[in-house]
Amino acid sequence: MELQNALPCMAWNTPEVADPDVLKAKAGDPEAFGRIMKAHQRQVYRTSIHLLGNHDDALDACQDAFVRLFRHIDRLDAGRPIEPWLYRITVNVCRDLAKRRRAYAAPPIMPPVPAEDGRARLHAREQARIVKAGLRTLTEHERVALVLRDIEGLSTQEVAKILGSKQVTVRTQICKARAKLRKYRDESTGGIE
Amino acid sequence: MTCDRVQAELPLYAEGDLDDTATHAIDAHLAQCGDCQRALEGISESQRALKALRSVYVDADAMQAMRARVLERLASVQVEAARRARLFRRVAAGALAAAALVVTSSVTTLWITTPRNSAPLVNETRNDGTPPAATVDPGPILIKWVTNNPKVEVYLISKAQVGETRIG
Repeated sequence: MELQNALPCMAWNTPEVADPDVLKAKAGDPEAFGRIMKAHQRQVYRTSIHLLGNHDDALDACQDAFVRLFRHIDRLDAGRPIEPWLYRITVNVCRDLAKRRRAYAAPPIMPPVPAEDGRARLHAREQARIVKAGLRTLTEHERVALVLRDIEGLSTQEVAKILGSKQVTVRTQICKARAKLRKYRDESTGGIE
Repeated sequence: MTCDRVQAELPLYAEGDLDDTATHAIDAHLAQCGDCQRALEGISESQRALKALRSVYVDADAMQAMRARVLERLASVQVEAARRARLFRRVAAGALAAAALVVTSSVTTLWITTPRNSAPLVNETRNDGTPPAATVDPGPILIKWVTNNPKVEVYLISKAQVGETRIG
């Protein structure tokens, strides 16, 4: 197992020269496309697992996202960063997968812990489980906005651009999502750390 | 600001998503409100737990297998694309041949009818100085185009143009 500790891309700088791997991949070079996948698999997997909630679906999403990327790579400008485009593809793939599997309608992974049982301090792993379960209680739009903004570390402007939404809409979704998550976490722990 | 108003803005305040004016107003409120301070601590704690999810364990072997599956699918996509391109070329060639056949078979007969007593096309000045014979109007040219549909007959009628050239 490898730990993906690298911080997500906070801002995308336009490369001065076109990415040679993108140019080769556009020409149908599978090795170049393999290198693109390897460079961006963490981003796609991390986004997918937080949107879909489980490893197997996230792997399927990675596969579909990269196939979709390849199919439309002729539209990609090699001189522009690939990340925003890949985020958009990933979000769309996850939405499609979730619709097929009704993942968004699934009940939370873990039911809230009764208040009286939450008095002991929860360690980090337990906290993570609660937050993941809390993510499943959000609406699809709230979850996507929150994952991109707070887990992937993108700006509200970048999230809005990726989702094709207005910034004010994304801010509202993020605000609601954070408040719901905090409420869910409080209910799960009884408000005690 | 009221506590309700402040607490509604706290999710954005906690991550620095508010403008300076709103931020200063909430700063001032928090300095004298314990309830809102506790609400802020709750949100901050929740946000810390959320951001901890940035560290994701990934099975490197699973990723490698995923990449291999993608490349397999891409190979089949390329094969399929090539097959479709070949099929398209064949269909296009077949359609072209069929169209040519239809055009050829539809024009089963073409008659060009001109008057029998048409005048020579060139008027010449006779050597003895007599004027040339009066030009006879050749009349229209009638083209009858018979299609393979017996009810359809197309006639083209064209006024013949006679050139006039003088020699010597």
